[in-house]
This record gives sequence, structure tokens and C-alpha cells, in this order.
Amino acid sequence: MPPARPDDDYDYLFKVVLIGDSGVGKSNLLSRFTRNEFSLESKSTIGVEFATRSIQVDGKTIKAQIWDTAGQERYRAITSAYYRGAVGALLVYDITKQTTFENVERWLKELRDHADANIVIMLVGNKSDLRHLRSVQTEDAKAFCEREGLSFIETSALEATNVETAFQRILTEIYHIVSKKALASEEGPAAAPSSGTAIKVTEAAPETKKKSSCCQSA
Amino acid sequence: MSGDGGFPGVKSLFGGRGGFPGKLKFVRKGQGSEAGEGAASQATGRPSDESAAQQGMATLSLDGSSGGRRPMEAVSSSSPPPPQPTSGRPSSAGGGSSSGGGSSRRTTASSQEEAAAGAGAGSPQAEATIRPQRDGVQVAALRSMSETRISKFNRLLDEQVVDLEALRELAWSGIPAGLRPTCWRLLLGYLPPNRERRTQILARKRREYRDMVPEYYDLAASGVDQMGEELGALRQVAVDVPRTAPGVAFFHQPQIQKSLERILYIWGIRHPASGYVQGINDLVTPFMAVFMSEHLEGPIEGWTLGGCSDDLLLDIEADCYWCLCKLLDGIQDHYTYAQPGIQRTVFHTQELVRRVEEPVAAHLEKEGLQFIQFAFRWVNCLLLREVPFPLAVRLWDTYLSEGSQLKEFLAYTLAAFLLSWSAQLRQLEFQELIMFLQRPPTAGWGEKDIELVLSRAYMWRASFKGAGAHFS
Ligand SMILES: Nc1nc2c(ncn2[C@@H]2O[C@H](COP(=O)(O)OP(=O)(O)OP(=O)(O)O)[C@@H](O)[C@H]2O)c(=O)[nH]1
Ligand SMILES: [Mg+2]
Repeated sequence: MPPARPDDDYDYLFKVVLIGDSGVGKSNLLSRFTRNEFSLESKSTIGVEFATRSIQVDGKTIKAQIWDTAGQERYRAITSAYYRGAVGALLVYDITKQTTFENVERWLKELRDHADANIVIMLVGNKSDLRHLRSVQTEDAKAFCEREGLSFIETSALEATNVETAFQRILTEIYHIVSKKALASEEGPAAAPSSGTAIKVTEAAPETKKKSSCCQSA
Repeated sequence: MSGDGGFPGVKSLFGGRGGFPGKLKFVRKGQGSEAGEGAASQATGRPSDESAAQQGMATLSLDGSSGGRRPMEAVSSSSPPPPQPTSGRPSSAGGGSSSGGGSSRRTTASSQEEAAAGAGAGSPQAEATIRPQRDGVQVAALRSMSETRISKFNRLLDEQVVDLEALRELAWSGIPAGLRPTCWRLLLGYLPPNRERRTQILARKRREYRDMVPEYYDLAASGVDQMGEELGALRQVAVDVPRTAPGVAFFHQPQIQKSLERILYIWGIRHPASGYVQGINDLVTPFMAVFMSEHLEGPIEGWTLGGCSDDLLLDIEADCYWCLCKLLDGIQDHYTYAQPGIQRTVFHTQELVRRVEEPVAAHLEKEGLQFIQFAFRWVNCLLLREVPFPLAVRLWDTYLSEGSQLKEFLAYTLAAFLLSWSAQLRQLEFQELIMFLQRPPTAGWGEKDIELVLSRAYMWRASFKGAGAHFS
């Protein structure tokens, strides 16, 4: 690994995936979080797109490597490969489109089939700015999350409501799990970047080791 | 290197690199689900649309002597490939119009640049000779669309029966804007080479499409009698149409949006083996822009539909539909389950980069970057997303001239595209690499830049073909 660059110092590196039906606003949540940008006419995501941002949690620098995936079913064969090594997933639906909420179950199954069992999942109801068009009630989504043991938040990428909070929360949750685990296994979190691997990912491939983190390269 | 012969199956593509866990499972799943999804069309290996359409056309001998679907393998493997990207000179005029076939091909390498390219290609040290040629290519690529070039096109198009091979050769290096619509229709086999038949066939295909609109689209759009799958397709198309070429206002006029929606939905329904796949919406835009250019003045930025009748718009829509069909015919496996065609092209691209510039390939590998991570979209949208829209049509000139060779040529194109930045790439680490390649800096690109990519792709193909044994 080349020497760390000054702007690239971090204590933890977490790989997070953005999943959910096409058009629910995954790419805009990502661009809002990483670049503070929103576009009413963003292009559809083909395959996957990658972005990153670092935040502070408990005085530690957490770097999130976020893989934004294509929502269409056809792409799942490609995109589910990126679930491997992910420690968090933001599962997004559109509060104005009932079907995108109904499909959440299918997405959860995708995660069960392809992601690590310990992956932290947060359900995100996006487009909360479209109040007059709402078709998924907050209570229903909340109840669903309680049943499934997921965290939940409603966001608006357009109005930048709760976007920061959503990412902050899931990263914090992951951090707490990781640091607890690290403590348990007596590997101080000071083990630096590689400590991200404390959340055990499915069979570590050789190349995963090479980058000394759980989060790089698919 | 034609066809799949040289490539491992989808399964083994991932075996070595360990990049795609669970792939085996996907392949199995895919076969199962496909069978259910479009059993009828799968059985013939063709979407229902195509078999019907092609049978119909065959009776009118559209596919006759020099139809667009005629494979070029035989010709191009035994003689130098047709296009002369390095040529600014009217070198192929004589050969093209006198007699078709291989012999005229050989006479085309007459200019100095071509001779140089030919020598480099044939020699065993091809790899070493690739780089130094770059400057020569660049100079040649800067040539403007000269009068003689336009008159060469006109001469070809004026023939009673257009010599498609000659047209491919000429069109490969770029088509004059005014002649593009006709050339594209011919290259795709949508228009027959025989001038006498054209009006009749065009009218028939346009009528056929008009009949499809109520049969497929109107019914589905009205919400009557639709199955879950159709509903899903309609929904996906509706999500994508407003996100099509967001930078080009013309596509966002309501009538054009409606046209795009119909084209994509009908295409998807009539090609059940793949159905509509995101990104295909991008592939319609060059057709739309070019067929519209026959009726609207000036650059696309200023276009409005004011003077266009509904009738005219429907004809254009029909042309776009059929041309999209023709284009996708050759790359259908880009969009079927697990998208094996794309995976194969990405793999091929990676192999080429390794051969041409091993240090770049080694660097990417060292950084843990996989080609599929950035090149998937490049293939899926045929580089449309990666270049400014005005260059897309130029890219299409070459793609359509490649005809049945397009798939193979794409890998060379992508390798050349990637290596446009070979020096920079070697300075970047994983994260920078992926961010860079997700948005390659082509905003300032002009035709000469894209032509340089195409020229290099052309030469590499010639090199590797000529020295096949040596390299494999
Ligand atoms: N009103 C509103 N519109 C939004 C919001 N987020 C996204 N959109 C719009 O929804 C559309 C789809 O957004 P994308 O971010 O491209 O959706 P996606 O989930 O990435 O879609 P795929 O890439 O196809 O999977 C775009 O037109 C966005 O402008 C939001 O919070 N509010
Ligand atoms: Mg997206």
C-alpha cells in the first residue's frame, strides 16, 4: 500500500452499500452526502458507482467507502458481488411509491444471500419532501423495522434533510460494533485501518488482505 | 479472436481473480429464470421480434447480397481490415467503387500512414511499433471532412445498389453530418442497398411500428390487461426516460420523452430474453439526434419541435426503434441475465491492456482495481456516458461501420480509451483510480480525441490479429 496521503488519514475504513429499487434516490443521497449535490435529472446508475467521505465519531476518523448500486433487477447479478465485505447497507425506498417499499423484503433477501450475516442495515425512506404524494406511512415502515431489527430514518436528498444523520448513524452503529469486538478480541482499535475487518466478513480473499482493509475492491 | 472461441466461459472469468463470489450461482439461476421468462424466444436463440422481422424482410430480400447483417469475418480475417482511420486521403475511392471484396481492400493501404500502420501491424514487433505511430495518427486524425471525402460518399450513395463494404470502409472514419442519417440506415441494414426498394421498405417498416404502438404500448399504458412484468417494464422505462441525456434539453421535450418511452417499452416487450435494461435508453439518443437532424436546422442545443408534425415524429420514432433493434441484435447478450456479453468484453479489454501496456495493467492490479468496477458501464452504454454527447454520433459512425465486428472492436476501443490516460493512471491509488475512471475527464474532448482512440483500437486489432500466434 502506498504511503497514506495527508488528506486520507483515518482510523477506520467501512464499506457501505446503497441498495433499493431504481429511482428511489440512492445516487442523490450519495451525492448529497459526499459532495452536497443534488440533481433532479441524474443519470441512472449502471452497475455500481463509488464515492467516499470521512466523518468523526467519538474522536475517531471514520472513512466510509460507499458503493452505490443500480436498482434494476437485471443488474443484481453484477451488483450483489459488491455486498461482500460491506459492513453496512442503506436500503432505500421512495415514500411516494408503495412498490418500492414492498420490495424491501426482496432486498433484505438479497443481503441475506450475498452479504455478511453481521451487516448493519438501515432502512431509508427517501423523498420525504414530497409530503403531498406520500403513500408509505412512517408508522408502517417503523413497525416493519422493529420486526426485522433494522434502524430506520426518513430523508430528503432534495432538501438535504436527515441525509447527514442517516450516514452518521449507520457509521456510528458500525463503529460501536467494531470497537466492541476489537476490545473483546484484545486488538485495540489503534490497530488502525485494518481494524475495519473486526466485523468478520465472509472468507477473506487474498486481494482483501493485500489492501489491509475489508473495504476495498469489491 | 472472433466469437467466443478465445474466451473462457463466464464462470471461469471470475475463477482466477476471485472478484465475483457467487457467480456460479448466478449463472445457474439465470438459465432457469430465462427459460421461464421467454421460453419461446430462447428456443430459437432470437427474440421473437427479430425472427418475425427478419423473416419478413427476407422475403423482400433486404438481407440479400450485401445486407447489414452479413458477417464480415471471412473478409477481414483474410485481408487487412477495411477502415482506414489514419487516412485523410481519398485512398479507397478507386477500390471501393471498382470492385468489392478483398482485392479492393488490399489496395487501400496507399497513403504513407496506412503503409506504416500496415507494416507495424504485420510485424512481430507490433507491440513496440504501436506507440511511435501515435503522432502520425494524431496528425491524420486532425484532417477535416474534405470536399473530396464528401463527394466520395455521394458517389457511393448515388449508385443504384450501394456497395455496403465500400460504405463501411469510408464511413468508419466519420460520416459528413448531412449524409449520416442515410448512411446509418444503410449500415444497419434498415434501408436496403438497392435504391428502388427503399421507399417501399421504409414505408412498410414505419407502418409496422405504428401498428405496434397501440398493440403494445397503448394497452399497457392504459393500465388494462397488463401483467406484472409489463407493469414493471413500464415503470422502469418511466423512471429512466426523464433521466436520459440530462444535459441535452432537446430530449426533455414532452413529445420526445413520450417517443423514448414508447420505443424503449416496445423494444423491451418484444425482446423478452433481456427485456428493457437501464442504459439502453442512452443508446437511442444518437439515433434520435441524427434522424431529427434531417428535419431541424443548426445544432441540437437550439432544436424545438415547433414545425414537426405528429406524423413526421412518428416516422422518426419508428426509424429509431428499428435502428435500435438492429444495433442491439449484435449485442443482445450484453443485456441478458448476468450480462455475459459485457463481462466477456470487460475481460477481453483487460487482456488487451495487459498486452499493450503491461505496467498499467500491473498497477491497476496492484491497487486492487478490477476492470469490471469501471468498465462495466463503458460497455453497457458503449462509452456514451463517457464522452460529450456531440461525440457520440462520431463514435456511432465507427460502431455502425463495424457491423458484426462491433463486439470485438469494443474491447479494443475501451482499452485505447483507458490508455488515453496511461501516464496519469500509474500515479493514482485505488480510490483515486476508481473516481477518475468513473468520470474520465473528456469534457474538453473533440472529434480528434475520439478518433485517436478509435485509430489506436484499429491498429491494435490489426496487430494482434496479424500476430495472433505470437501473442496467444
Ligand atoms: N423530490 C425528491 N426527488 C428526489 C429525491 N432524491 C432523488 N430524487 C429524484 O428521484 C430521481 C431518481 O433519483 P436517483 O438518485 O437517480 O435514483 P437511484 O435510486 O439512484 O436510481 P437507479 O440508479 O436507477 O437505481 C431523480 O430524478 C432525483 O432527482 C428526494 O429526496 N426528493
Ligand atoms: Mg442511481
